[in-house]
Amino acid sequence: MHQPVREGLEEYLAGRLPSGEFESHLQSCAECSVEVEILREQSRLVRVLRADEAVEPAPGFYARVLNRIEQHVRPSIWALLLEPSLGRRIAMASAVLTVAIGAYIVSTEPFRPARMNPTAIYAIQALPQQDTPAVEAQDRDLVLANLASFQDN
Amino acid sequence: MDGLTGVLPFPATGARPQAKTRVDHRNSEEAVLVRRIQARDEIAFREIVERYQAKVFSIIFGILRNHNDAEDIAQQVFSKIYFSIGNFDFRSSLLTWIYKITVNECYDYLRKKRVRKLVYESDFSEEDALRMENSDTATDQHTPVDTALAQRDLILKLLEKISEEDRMLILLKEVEGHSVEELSQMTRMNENTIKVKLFRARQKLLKAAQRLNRSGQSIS
Repeated sequence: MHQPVREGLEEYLAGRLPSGEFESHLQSCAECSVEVEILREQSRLVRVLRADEAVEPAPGFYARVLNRIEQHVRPSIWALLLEPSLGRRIAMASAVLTVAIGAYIVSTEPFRPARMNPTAIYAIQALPQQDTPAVEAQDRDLVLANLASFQDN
Repeated sequence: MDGLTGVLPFPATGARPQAKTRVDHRNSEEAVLVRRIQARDEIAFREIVERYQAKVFSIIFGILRNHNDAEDIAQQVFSKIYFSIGNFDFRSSLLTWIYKITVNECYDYLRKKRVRKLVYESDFSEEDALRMENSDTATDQHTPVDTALAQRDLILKLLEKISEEDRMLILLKEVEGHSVEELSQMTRMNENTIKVKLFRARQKLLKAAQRLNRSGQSIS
């Protein structure tokens, strides 16, 4: 599109006749003439979005707007939970609780020697309980001493 | 025609930007009203609602042609104005700002509606969907009312393909009927810039139409 036409295009599309140069150029330039015609059609197409009747809201519109605003202001329970400061506090409390529960579980876990595989643990548990002779003698002495003290009473 | 549909470079024009008195949006009567709302003055907000409600309804109705939707979207527009007026920086007129919010809300609504429609149609068999599509096209071709609807759908689709700023300028010029001079005052850009931007926006619209044609959708 040539300069004189670009210059006056908006005026022309608005329904006003631009400079004489615009008109005379259009008459002599077929390319510009076609382009302007297409843009005029486009302009007409956009204007279908004009409201062809006056539109007024039903009475009480302002009250309904305030209602809508209030809905946004009054947060839901989910919005409250997602609120940054409360969310941070909940996350902190959860972390502390997790650490406490973890510490409790670790402290109550029965001692197992490290690096012992399940077969070795089973082997230890399966061994018959054999007391040594020294322990047996100690037990016997203890029983005798108990009997003697019982007779004394 | 090819020369037109491509985005043409817009050489610097010989004309100098016109030295017109720029409107200072910071010191207008509207600016006072805006500052009052920013200070949580409810009476000032009510004044804005009452002043612009008819305009907002007209913009929405022009785009959607549905009274019920217009009410719902208008409520949403004013609610947005209430919550974001603190960010209004007086770089444009209040009307331009409200216009932008309103058009964006309409497009948001149309997008959501399209998604809902897609979900709804996904419940039908392919055959049903095809039958519905064909019946839509048939109606579009035969009745003038539906031709107007198809034209509106087409231009809305094309306007969606260009930037928010380009869309605003085209709508303010063509739908609202503002002159280049008025647009210059509303946006605080000089008239030559407005002309260049409008020309480029029109070229982009044409390119979008061309792409749409190529992708097999009918323009009638």
